[in-house]
Amino acid sequence: MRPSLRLHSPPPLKLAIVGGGPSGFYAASRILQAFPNQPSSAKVSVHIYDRLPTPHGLVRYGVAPDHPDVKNVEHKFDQTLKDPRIQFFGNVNITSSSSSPQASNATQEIQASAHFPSALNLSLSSLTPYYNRILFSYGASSSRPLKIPGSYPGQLSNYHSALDFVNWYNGHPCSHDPKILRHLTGGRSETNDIDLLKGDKRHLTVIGAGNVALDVARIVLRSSTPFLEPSGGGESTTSSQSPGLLALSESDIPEPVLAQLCKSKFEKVDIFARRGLTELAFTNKELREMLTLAGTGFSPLPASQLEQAYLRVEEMSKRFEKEVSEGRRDANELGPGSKGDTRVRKRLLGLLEKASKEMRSQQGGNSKIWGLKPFRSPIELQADSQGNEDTVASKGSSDPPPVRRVEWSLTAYKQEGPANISSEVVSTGESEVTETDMVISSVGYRSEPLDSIGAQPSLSTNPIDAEDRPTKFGSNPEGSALELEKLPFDSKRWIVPNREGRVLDAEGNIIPRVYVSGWLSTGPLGVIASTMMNSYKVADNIISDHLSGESSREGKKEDDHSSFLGELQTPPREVETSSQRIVGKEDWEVLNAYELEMGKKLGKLREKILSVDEMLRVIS
Amino acid sequence: MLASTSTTRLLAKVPAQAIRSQTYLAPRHLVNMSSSSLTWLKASPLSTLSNKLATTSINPMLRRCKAPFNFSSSISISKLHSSAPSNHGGIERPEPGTGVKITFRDSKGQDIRTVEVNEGDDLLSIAHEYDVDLEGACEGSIACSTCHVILEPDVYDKLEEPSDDENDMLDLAFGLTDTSRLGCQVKVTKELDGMVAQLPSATRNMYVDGE
Repeated sequence: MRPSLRLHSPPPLKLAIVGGGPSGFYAASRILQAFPNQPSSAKVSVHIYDRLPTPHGLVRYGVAPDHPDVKNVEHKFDQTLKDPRIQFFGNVNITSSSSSPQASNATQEIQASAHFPSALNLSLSSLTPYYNRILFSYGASSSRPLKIPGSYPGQLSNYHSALDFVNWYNGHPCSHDPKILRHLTGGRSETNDIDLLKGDKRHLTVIGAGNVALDVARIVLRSSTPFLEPSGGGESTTSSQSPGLLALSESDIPEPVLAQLCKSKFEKVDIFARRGLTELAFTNKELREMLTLAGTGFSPLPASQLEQAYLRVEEMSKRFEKEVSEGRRDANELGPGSKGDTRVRKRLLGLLEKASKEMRSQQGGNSKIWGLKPFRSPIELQADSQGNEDTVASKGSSDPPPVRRVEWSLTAYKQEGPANISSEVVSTGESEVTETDMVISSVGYRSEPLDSIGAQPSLSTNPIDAEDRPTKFGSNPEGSALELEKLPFDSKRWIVPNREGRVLDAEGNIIPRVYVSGWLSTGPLGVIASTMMNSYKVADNIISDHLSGESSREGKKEDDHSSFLGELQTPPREVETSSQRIVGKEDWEVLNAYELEMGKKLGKLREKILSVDEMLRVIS
Repeated sequence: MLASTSTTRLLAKVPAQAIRSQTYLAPRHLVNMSSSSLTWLKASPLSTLSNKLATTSINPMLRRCKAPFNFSSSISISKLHSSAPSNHGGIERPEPGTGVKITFRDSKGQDIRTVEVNEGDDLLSIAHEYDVDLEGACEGSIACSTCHVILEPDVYDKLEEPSDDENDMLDLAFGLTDTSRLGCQVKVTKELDGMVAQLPSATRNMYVDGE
């Protein structure tokens, strides 16, 4: 008996990856690594798509400019791109193939294409037949809205989402590209509305207590530090240890942003957290950096508040140990009270305690200060005088008044009886009003359905709660090409529903050959290392599914899962014939070299190109 | 390369989908007909898959078998040679018989390999030099936790305490233990001859199920 040829060697894998951020790149590198590049081996081809001309996603546009070390992961991504079996297609916006009659869908789609006016819009139905597997890793490029009066678009100026602010200081085209901004603002403006200078701004309010909140606070606090000489001399000029603005001036922060930061007079930042000191979400590394920021003091926390938090950590730890001893929990479990969690929280409280003590004994000496305000949940952003809301309404779309005050609801831990320690808080009924010059809301990023990618990439919006729409999938019994028209989306959890990275349909069944990884699959939590682990795992699943020819738990065998249109290297026809400039990996090399060279001339790590058209000009 | 020459071994990884069902339909490519008893080797999944992808003699037989799903195996991967450039550590290898011996061990206690190195080299560079898969995403700048290794208590005690910066990163490490260190921060000395560096098991909630 002669075994069929197909069994002699596994079939070729032709994989499309939608989203060229860390998750997509880690998955790609894992897959390429698994396929030995030898003539006798199985063939693999990976095509990474990104709606921006540039790869690297949040490593380029999320990681703060004064954290250049974290960006070392880009070296691995660029190494991965050197592999001949991988291609990059930048400036391609993948859209849902919705022919849905629903008006809202249609509108969204028009918007989506409009926001990246220079990109090729490629529908899923045009893309997928050219591949035998597809991975979605387009991340979370929207922000969770605050949904309180005063926070809606057009109501108040000097209020921004952290995403908008981060996009601004990292030079994201959504914050700097005139064409994109014109679409985002409905034609009203070609510039972003972030202005640190107008109106003698001194105080910044940050809502939320995660690492992004600290990034924002740190950049603003650095900004108004005069150029200080580096201490000790000879230290790395790009180190985040550099005092004040120096750490930024030689980073990859864009020149126009730096120009504004240099003149900023911000001297006080308060970070407000809805819950207590035990629930702070930032990491110790970022906190330590804040506490050692040159020329910047820390507003000491009341000793009683710290003590209460310590006791709480102890209590959670004891409870955890008790539950382990009673066999109700695994000692290796995670979460509040576990060994790892207790270590992290105690170290964090230790840092806060030490800084508070030092600050209490040492008065003055700092030109700037920051503080943590736990147990405060925002209920309203207000303009200057009472009754201003009427003015806002009558003014319509003209310049909204600046935010001046925030009203907070004071909170306390929910009492859940003696057996539980709740990490949730409830309002005490009391409230408080604080004065401020600018408010940045940092309450989390959020993924968007594929439909509306680009619809609202950076505006703080009143969310349109996407309904569960019927999803159509190609179940092509004869053919073998991958046909996917819509990507399912869980509009309650704001992720693509999945089991271990295998995308699920509305009934909870695995859709064969369709995968999701990174923040789009988990929600926007965790550091790059967690995204890496997740992506490796999903990549392993892709490989094992591919080898076995199975991708559903039921063991249902796919029809010839190895087929795809064109050759292994062939991109979709629309890509090959596109009149829009597609950015390949050689183009990215040119762009990258150009930016590095521009940076060198300015004495910086890199000078980013801020608009898509300019990027396309450079590579033409 | 565990399997490249073997025809009597079955190398397989149970896909994650078997978690719930606890049963697993072995992929045809991974089953060897000449093997009467199925042996599940504790091979790392990537090397397994990689080997299979390179294999040309595959038998089309399907067999149902049970195996525990091993969640923690996914991070102990020995790097395989592909066109992906090997991240060599940029360190000098000593003359055989003259260096300090270091053994890398996977998360399940199996030795990956023992190597000889010079004093002063760090564990991350050594791992990269000898193709042991420690990630080292930030390239040794203490900005990530991906080169986390677990040491034996007596070795741990011989070293200086980790710095605050290192501890901040260990906070975020998967499968942290009392004797965990960042590989990039552990410099080899003669005193450490014969030491073992174990790769952690990813017991941490590294994979957040989408359900």
